[in-house]
Amino acid sequence: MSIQPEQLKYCDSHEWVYAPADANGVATVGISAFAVAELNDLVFMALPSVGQKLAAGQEFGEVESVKAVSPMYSPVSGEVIEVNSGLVDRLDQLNADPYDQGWMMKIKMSDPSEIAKLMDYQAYQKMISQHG
Amino acid sequence: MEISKNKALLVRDSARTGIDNMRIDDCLLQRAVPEGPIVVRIYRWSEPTLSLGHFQQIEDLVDDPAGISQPSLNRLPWVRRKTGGGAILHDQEVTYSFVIPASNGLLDKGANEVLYRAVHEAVRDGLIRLGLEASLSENCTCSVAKKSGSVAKKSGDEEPFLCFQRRTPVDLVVGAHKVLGSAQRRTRTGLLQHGSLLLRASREFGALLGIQDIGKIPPEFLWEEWLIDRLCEGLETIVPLNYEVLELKDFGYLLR
Repeated sequence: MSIQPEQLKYCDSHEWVYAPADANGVATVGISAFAVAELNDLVFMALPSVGQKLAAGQEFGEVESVKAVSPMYSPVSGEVIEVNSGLVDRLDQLNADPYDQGWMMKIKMSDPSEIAKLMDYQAYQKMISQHG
Repeated sequence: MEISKNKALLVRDSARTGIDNMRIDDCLLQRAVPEGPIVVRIYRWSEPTLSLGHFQQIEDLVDDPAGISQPSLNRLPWVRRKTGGGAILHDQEVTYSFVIPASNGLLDKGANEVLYRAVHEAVRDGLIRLGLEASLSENCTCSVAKKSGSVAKKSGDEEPFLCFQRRTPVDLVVGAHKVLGSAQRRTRTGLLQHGSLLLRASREFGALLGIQDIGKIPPEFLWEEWLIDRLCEGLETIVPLNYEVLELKDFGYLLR
C-alpha cells in the first residue's frame, strides 16, 4: 500500500481517509502531517478495537503530547476491521510517514456516500493555509 | 489561539472529592459553547487524593520510586484526569482550571503551549514579587515512549510517576522545587487547562516542598485570591477580558 496525501479526503479535525473504488467499501484512516506537526512529541496513543462500531465524527482514539490529551475523530461510519497496532509501538513513524506507515485503522463503511462530504486535498490545504 | 468572546466567569469553589473535582472540570469542558465565556475555577480537595494522568495506570505506582519510598500513596483515593502528564498528590495546594470554548475546528489537537506559558509566567512574576526566586524550568524529563497492546505506555523507569518529580520546560520551579504544573485536554467544544500550585509538603509525601516551605510568606496568605489574579494576568496577555464573579451553584447542571 502506498498512500499519497493528494489521494485522500480530509476532515476539518485533520483526520484523513483513503477509500479507493476497488477497496470494497473499506476506508483507511489516519491523521494529517499538519496534525502530526501540531501534536509534536507524541508520548501516548490509544486506538480502537477491531469490531468497534463508529459513527462519522465519533472519537476513535486519543493521543497525548506535552501533557495535552487530544481526541481523534472517525471521518466515516462503519465497523473497525483492522487496527495498525504496530503504530503504537513506533509513534515516530507518524512523524516520518503519516500517510502510509502512519495509518491507524480500517473501517468497513456503512455509508460510503459520507466520503463525498469530506474535503479533497486542495480544499484541506486551503483550510490549513488560512488558519495555520 | 482564537478566543472569540472576551468574557470570563470566575468561580471560587470549595473543597471537593477528587471524583467531583474532575467531573466538574470535565462538565465545564463538555458544556462549553462557541462564543461562550471562558470559565476560570479555583478549588481545593476535601482529602489527600492522587489524580492520575489520563494514560497512567495506578499499578505503575508500585514499582515507581515514589511508591517504594512512600507506600501510603498506594492507599490514597485516586481519580483519573482527562488531561495528560503524571500523577499529582493533591493535598496542600490550590488548584485552578479554565475552559476556553473552541472557536473553530483547526486547533483541536495538541498542546497549546502559549497558554501554559502565559499562566506560568504570570505566576512566576507574582512569586518573584513575593520574594521567591521563581523561574520556568527550561528542563525536560520527557521519556521515549514504550508501548504495549493497543495503548502506548511510558516506561515507568524512564520518567517518575509523580508530576512534581518530572520537568517540562514551562514548569514553574523555585530553586530545585517544582511548584506549579499544568496539563490540558482538547475536544471539539474547547480546551481545558488545569494545574496545581503546591503550597506545602504533604504528610503523605514530604519530599515535595511547596511555596510556603521555601519562602517567608505569612500562613494566612490568601492564595486563592492571589492565584485568581495571576490567572487573569496570564490570560490577559492573550486577550483582554471582562470578568464576572460567580459561585459554582450558578452552574447548577454541574452539581446534579
